[in-house]
Amino acid sequence: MTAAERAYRLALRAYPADYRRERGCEILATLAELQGGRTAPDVRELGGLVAAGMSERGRRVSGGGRAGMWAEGCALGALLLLLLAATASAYALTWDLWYARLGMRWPIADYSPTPLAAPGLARVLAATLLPLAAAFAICRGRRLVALAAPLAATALYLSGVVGFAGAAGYQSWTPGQSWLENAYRLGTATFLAAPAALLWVGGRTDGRPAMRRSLGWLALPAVLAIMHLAYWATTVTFWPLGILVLAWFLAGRWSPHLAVAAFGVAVPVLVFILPTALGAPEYEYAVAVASGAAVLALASLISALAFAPGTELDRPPV
Amino acid sequence: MQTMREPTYFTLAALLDGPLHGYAITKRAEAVSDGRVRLTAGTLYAALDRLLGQGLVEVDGEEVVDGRARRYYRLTSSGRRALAAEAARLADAAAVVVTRMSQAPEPAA
Repeated sequence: MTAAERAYRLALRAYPADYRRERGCEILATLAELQGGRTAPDVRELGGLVAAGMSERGRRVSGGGRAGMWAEGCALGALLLLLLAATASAYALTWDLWYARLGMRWPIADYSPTPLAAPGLARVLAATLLPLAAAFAICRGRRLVALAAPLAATALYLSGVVGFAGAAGYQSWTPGQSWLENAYRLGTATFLAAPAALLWVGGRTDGRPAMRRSLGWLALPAVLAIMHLAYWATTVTFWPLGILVLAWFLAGRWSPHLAVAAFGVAVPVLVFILPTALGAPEYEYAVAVASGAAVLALASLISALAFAPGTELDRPPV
Repeated sequence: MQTMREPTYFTLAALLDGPLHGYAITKRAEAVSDGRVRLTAGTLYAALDRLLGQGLVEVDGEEVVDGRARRYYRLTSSGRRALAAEAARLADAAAVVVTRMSQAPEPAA
């Protein structure tokens, strides 16, 4: 097998598996004829395969089309953000309750959960159960609940009634001493409100996200929590996201809507953790920011190929 | 009817003279478009899938040449009609400009 054929076979993986079985040999034969005697793969052909392959995948999601990709990507992005928020909160609350029980202070002295006005139950409800309820609503196709719950969580946070697990620990909304502290809190508010914003943007396209999706998604926080146990707090939130996208790709279920979802998750999470990374230059934060930037770069590249004018994305599924 | 994209138009045009396989379609489309349309394999097969789905093109037959599978495609009668309609539309669009161009005064440079 020549280097060119190897490269073309790899690029063919952009197509869904059943399409590859049906058409793969024929496409490779045509490419071999187009190749002539050259050994190096043609970059234009590689780009063409990836773009056409992703368009083919995209057409199979939510009835296909650009609008379908946006709607589905926004809904998935919102779901992932909500699950991240619920996990971060549950994790921080566990520590909070544990330390309170032991009569100890929160390990990060600067961000002590003690002036929290509301009792424990209200905090659990607002910080963990509201995002979870919204995630459940997305899985069941209840758009209104999915929109309202993150807005309620944001409002409760902004009112100062309940705290929330920010990237720098568990905090309530109180004006900080420095711009950096205020940035932490604004970042948290943005992160909490982002799922509602994504659902709103997705709802404005003509596309329709899947009305129902597997409740198996709700198991994701358990996976994230295990990763949180290994590394403190939300700094590694991009890792599970990356693993998820990779798993999806390996499972052959990749489609351009994942690039939209990756954007939808990466931007709010970067806003969420960037002030912490600036305030505490530690390697974990640097890794989180760098991986977030990598997710954005990859999503941009894929979007550029898949959503470019003239691709077959708008063709209805046959 | 929706206007045709250029790769689609020249893919159909390439099949006017008879059934061709993938590689031959790209070469023929390049020739009939004076080298303007260079279809990549990805674009070609996406266009063929759509045309097959719309019934404008159909599979003519398959053969193995030098160990490679070739599938031949041919224009259907509705494909021929769609191509003729698009060609007429393009000719009309061109005629509007060409006629008016000869009458309109040249803009000052």
